[in-house]
Amino acid sequence: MKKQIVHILVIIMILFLSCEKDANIKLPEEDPKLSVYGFLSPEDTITSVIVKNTHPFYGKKSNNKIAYITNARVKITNNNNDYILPFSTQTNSYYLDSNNIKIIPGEEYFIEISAPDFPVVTSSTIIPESINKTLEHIDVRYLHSSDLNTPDITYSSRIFFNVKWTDNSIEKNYYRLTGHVDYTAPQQGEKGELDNNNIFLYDDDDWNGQTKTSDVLHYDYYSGGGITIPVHLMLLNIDYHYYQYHKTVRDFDIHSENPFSEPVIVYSNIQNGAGVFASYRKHEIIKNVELIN
Amino acid sequence: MYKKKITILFLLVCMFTQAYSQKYTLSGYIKEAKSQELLLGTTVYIAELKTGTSANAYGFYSITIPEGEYTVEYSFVGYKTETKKIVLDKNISLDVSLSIGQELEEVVVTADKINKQSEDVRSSVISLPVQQIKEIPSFLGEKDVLKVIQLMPGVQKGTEGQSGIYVRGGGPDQNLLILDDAPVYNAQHLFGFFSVFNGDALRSVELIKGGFPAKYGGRLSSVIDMNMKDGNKEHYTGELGIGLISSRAVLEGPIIKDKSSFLISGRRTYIDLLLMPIIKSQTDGVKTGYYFYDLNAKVNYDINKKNKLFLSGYFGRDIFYSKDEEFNYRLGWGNQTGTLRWNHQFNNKLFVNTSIIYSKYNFSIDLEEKYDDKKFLLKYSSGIEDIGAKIDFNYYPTPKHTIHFGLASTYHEFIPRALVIKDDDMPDDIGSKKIIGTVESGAYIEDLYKPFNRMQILGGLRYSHYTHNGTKYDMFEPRISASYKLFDDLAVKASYAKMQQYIHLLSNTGIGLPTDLWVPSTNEVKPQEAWQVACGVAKDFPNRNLSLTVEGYYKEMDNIIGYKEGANFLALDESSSFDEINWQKMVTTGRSWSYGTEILLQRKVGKLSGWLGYTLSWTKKKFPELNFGEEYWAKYDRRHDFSAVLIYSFNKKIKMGATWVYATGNAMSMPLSEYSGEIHNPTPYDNYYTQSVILNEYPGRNQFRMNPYHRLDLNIQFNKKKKRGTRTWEISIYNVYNRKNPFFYYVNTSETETKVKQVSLFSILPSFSYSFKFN
Repeated sequence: MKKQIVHILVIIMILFLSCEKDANIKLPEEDPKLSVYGFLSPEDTITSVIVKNTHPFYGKKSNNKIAYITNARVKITNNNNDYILPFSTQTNSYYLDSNNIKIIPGEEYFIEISAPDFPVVTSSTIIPESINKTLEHIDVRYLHSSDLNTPDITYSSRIFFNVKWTDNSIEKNYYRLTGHVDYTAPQQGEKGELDNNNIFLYDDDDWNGQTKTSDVLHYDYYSGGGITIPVHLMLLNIDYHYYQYHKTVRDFDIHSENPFSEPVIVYSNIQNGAGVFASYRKHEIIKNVELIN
Repeated sequence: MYKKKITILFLLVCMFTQAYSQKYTLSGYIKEAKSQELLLGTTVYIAELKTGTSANAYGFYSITIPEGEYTVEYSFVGYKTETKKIVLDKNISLDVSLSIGQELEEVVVTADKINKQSEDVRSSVISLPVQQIKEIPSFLGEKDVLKVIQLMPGVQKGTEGQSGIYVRGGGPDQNLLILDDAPVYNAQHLFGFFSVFNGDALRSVELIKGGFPAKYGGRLSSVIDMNMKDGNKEHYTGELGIGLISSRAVLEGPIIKDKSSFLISGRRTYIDLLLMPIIKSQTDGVKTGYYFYDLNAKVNYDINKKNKLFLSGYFGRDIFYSKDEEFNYRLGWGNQTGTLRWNHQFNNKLFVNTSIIYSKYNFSIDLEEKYDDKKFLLKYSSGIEDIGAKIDFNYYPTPKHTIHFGLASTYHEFIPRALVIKDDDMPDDIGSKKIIGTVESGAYIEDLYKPFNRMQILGGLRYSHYTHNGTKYDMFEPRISASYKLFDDLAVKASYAKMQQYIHLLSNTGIGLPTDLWVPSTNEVKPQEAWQVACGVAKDFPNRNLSLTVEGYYKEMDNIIGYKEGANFLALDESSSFDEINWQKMVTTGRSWSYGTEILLQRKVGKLSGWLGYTLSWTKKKFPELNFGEEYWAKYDRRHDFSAVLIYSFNKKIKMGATWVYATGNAMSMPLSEYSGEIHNPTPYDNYYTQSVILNEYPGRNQFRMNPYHRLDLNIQFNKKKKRGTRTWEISIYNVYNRKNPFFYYVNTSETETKVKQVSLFSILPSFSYSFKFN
């Protein structure tokens, strides 16, 4: 249907189109800024921040227009404790391990980043106090690729993980569901993540205090042969910044090419810059699952 | 002491005389002399009492005044004023016929009391002279009521060539378009480039932007009330017109002389027929084309002096088709309306109209395909269907009070999806239909009160009620308009109105696609609400036939729907997806407010007629879920909007028209910069960062402006009286100075540079048409 509508619009355009020219409008001029990504969690072993630059949207393009900024000063502050994060060329990020920075639930963390030729950017996040530990694995469901009507299949079997968790009714909660398998795949293409390039986000608007079930997490594999593998299922209690940023990035990615949808404005809580500084809590359960053909 | 007693006695006598002097009622119908068509809104003025009334929407008038001898003036713009001397010593029923004034004899049509803006209690109301609609330059020669409405202050068009209407910051879904009491749900042909109202069959068009009378309800922003002609009761007459893209015909005449008449009017485009050889050669023999047609019909019957029946209908459809020997694809959409009205005069003070109303908008796809001697058939449709009834009473107890009251109820049937698939390869047919039924009702009472000659108050209350699947909403909607005459031709006016809207339109394309879908209010998506205040002055210059209105307004709308960023309603028309996509999750509700000033200088008759309109306005929106809760400019926020419409009659044979419009560009969202967005990976794969997405940074919603829109159109009409009628040649030029107005902008990214490109639609477009009006 969408195709036919577009065909008709094309016919109209051909009938009525008068011309196309460079727009003579006042375009925004914007100097490059810093874009910052930091996600703090008491459950992580490292605290890591990525810093890149933004690039003016219009005009001539340059090579390496968006790059890692390696000479920035990244400072995280909490309760008068200043933490300077050094840059690691291995990870292309500024990071400290948990021995050198304490991420404490319920506390607010501030970030300030300065780099030559860029305006100073700042942001803050409050680490979620509560952690939801109600995640339960219910069952698994197997699906052979021949049962799926997808001609571009690259795997022979898919296993779905059905899970449930209960929302804490006292507060507003945002969640992310994810996971991975702890398994070295013998065949190419068998990646370990269970969200398969999706971002499964939830807010508790419609089910405050209730139980949610979901089987969106799945794993694709070529051959199982009765191997049993440990599967890590994770429920993240995420803060508002984490939720909004990832939700809008996901929407932007899906709809940016669609001329009929409203433009998606990606969320940012970075003052004078772009990106996000957010936090989350992580609860993980491990389930041994057999891969059958 | 003695003097005081005499004075008191005199006052008592006066009061007694006033209270108990015998009163009688003068009532009747006002018609046009030549065709015996009822004339609505005619002014009836009693010179001796300096008071009057006006005919209702069915040409009926009634005024109750003390016994006496009076001079009664009946006047209507464009018609010669009829003066009657009456001796009112009993109730009198007097039908009056007015004859058309000679257009160039300005004095004839200049009457002191005719349709003056300063005499009308209502503010924010514009009556469009139907004759002028035919004389204004138009796009490809197609006379279009909605495009003329767009030229009025307070009304904005969407984009180039579109007939969508944005009134005082409201959306096109917030306009109540009614044709003979029946709502029209999608008034657009060819994706909005033409509207369904061509003007041939119309008798009156009134645009109400605020201070809504209590009888109207169900939309927030405007009422466009159109009445079809009844048909000539005296003799047969008609008109034929041939234009560049369509032809049209009107025929009207008596069925039973002076008792019953009919009118039928039709129009069809023929772009498909003209282009067929080219299209066929380009598409390997596949016949592909597009056309639309309209049909208006009306019959009326005067049962007796106190009872009249009217039956009217509209049927219009757009068809896109593509077919060859094995494949037949047909896409269609259109409206059907029908109204049966019964006018009954209980007595000379109480008039009632009862209407039974039907309206339907439907979008359909029919696909038939043959393969291997087998057949595949798909039928899909969506739309809305209404069946309603209303009863409106007009009661005229005294010249100081005119009371309107009534009831209305409509059953809406929303059909978001109906699907049938038949395939010879499938054992069973697939069929599903989703229907949502709702009932919307209203009751109202309203009094036009004239406490003294200079003051008028139109106060009313509407109670509206809505039920859907156990969900109920109701609302009291107070309405009040008042005017006070400072001088004979200068009045100050003010109005307040509260409105409620129970249905919503899903459409985020803004270009009038037929897939736009009406949906009901639900538990989650509440009815839209609005309130509006307006105040201003109206000044008439009767010697020059000019009227000037200056009006300021403030309007606030709540619970209006917006589309979540990334939401795409085109998906809704995909046959299997309506149940899967919960539209309620794709919309979000918020608030919008608009304020501004409108100036209109209008001349309805004379050698030089037309108007100058200017609007200075601001429209903002605030949605908790959009733009991160920050307020932003509405897409059609227009700081300046100016229209000049001039029609000049050189003589009886030649008329020339010119239209110039200027409007601030639409607001739009443009990216500032691009950057690499990192997606967090809480699993240990790929160093905790799985992927980067190139993102655009927007400074916010609708922060930039398109270039201003301006355009000049010209036309010239050559009329010639022939033996059997009048023929007219018309030459029009659209966009005379070939302005490249922006239709939309898009970002063009090459390997070396990113640029913004502007797409314009119509360059200079000449057109011509021929019409012949039979006597």
